[in-house]
Amino acid sequence: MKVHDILRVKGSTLFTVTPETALQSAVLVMSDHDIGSLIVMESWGYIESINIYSQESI
Amino acid sequence: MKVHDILRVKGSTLFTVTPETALQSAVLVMSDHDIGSLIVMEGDKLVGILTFREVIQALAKSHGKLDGLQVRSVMNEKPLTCNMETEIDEVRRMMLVDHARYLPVVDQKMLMGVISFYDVAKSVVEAQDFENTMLKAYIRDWPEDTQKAAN
Repeated sequence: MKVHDILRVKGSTLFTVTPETALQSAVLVMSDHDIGSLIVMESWGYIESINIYSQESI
Repeated sequence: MKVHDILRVKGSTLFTVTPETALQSAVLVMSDHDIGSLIVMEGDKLVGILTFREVIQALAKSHGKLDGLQVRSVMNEKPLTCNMETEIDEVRRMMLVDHARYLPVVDQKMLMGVISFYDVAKSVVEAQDFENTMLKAYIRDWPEDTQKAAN
């Protein structure tokens, strides 16, 4: 079993924020969707920097 | 594999708070120990669980200000629980159905510990590694592993 097998079943919903997003808004997104992490993206198109923002950072 | 097999390896360190604990203090304990949940006890009775889910909900609702809030007002009062004899397969199902990341373990009304998603994942990996070692030893084609299995 590989990652793509899991993602295929899980679907492609992905929650992202930018580094400039207000922390309060990010917390709202996490609360509304009951998720434990947000991907932080800088610039769309290609991944310049990517970070996982998880509950440990709050 | 059962819940008590995981708890035996994990040890019995358990973080609890009372319902009257200030939410801010509870968050400090979670942050200091890098834990995702606290068990809420009133006397020797389990009355709820506080996980980062409830903390995030509280932060969202109160615009980041936790002052004046008590654990009681935000905790999950009806967490799913398991006992020492629950099979790990059953724990996995319970966690997925309820989207529960932490399950308190209660045996004869006594709180025995907490099982987390992490604990379950770890036990699965360890069980697989053990099975691989045993299979390799059985095939007897990996001398170093045969030795490891014999130890």
